[in-house]
Amino acid sequence: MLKLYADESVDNDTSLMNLSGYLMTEGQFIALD
Amino acid sequence: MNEAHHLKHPAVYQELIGLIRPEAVICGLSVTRYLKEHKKLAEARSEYTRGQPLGYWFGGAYTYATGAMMALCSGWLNKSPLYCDEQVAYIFENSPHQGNVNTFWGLLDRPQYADRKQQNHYISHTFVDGKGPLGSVLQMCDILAWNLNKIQREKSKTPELNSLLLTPTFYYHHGPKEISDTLHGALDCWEQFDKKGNPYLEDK
Repeated sequence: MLKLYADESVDNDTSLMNLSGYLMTEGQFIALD
Repeated sequence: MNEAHHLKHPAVYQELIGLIRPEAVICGLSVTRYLKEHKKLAEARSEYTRGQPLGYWFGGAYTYATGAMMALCSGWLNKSPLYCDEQVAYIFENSPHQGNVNTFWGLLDRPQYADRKQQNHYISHTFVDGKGPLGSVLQMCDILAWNLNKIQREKSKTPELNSLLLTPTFYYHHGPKEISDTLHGALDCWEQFDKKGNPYLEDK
């Protein structure tokens, strides 16, 4: 099983909504800690 | 994240940028659209929308964004020889709109949506506190989103974005056509079942 973490940012000037994230393995997630 | 955070905590900001390296993740993914365009299209009604605006059948702006992210991720996985059979746990930061997201994506666990669940490589979706133990990884995502928005606004890459994009990052913008196609496509999903996943009664 993979994990995708994502968070949003909205630019109020342009109304552009961006949802960005990183796809990773459980091992990669643990290594980030 | 905003300009003030970036300037107020430069060391933390640079530390988080440094965590994002090609070997640290599989890839970055990013979806965008203009909320003004989405709002206008989601308010449209037609004979096919059962008297409701299109958005009623797809959920709010954040539900759309999470669906677009699942579609981008799934499309990438389908082309990946290494990961094409993997399922994904989707994890988002807490949002005031998460109830609406739960209403729609919670249906994927119903048997009648098994195909759609499979198409999205979906195993679960969760909302977590960005200030909790998973805060760092969510801040990494926030930094990517914020920098990509910044480049759209200022038309110049920051050194931080150059660093972030050393990691393979896939980007998809939903313009009016993509938004319209997605919203209309959602109607097909509700053709046989109502929003609680119950089949419509046959007209007599």
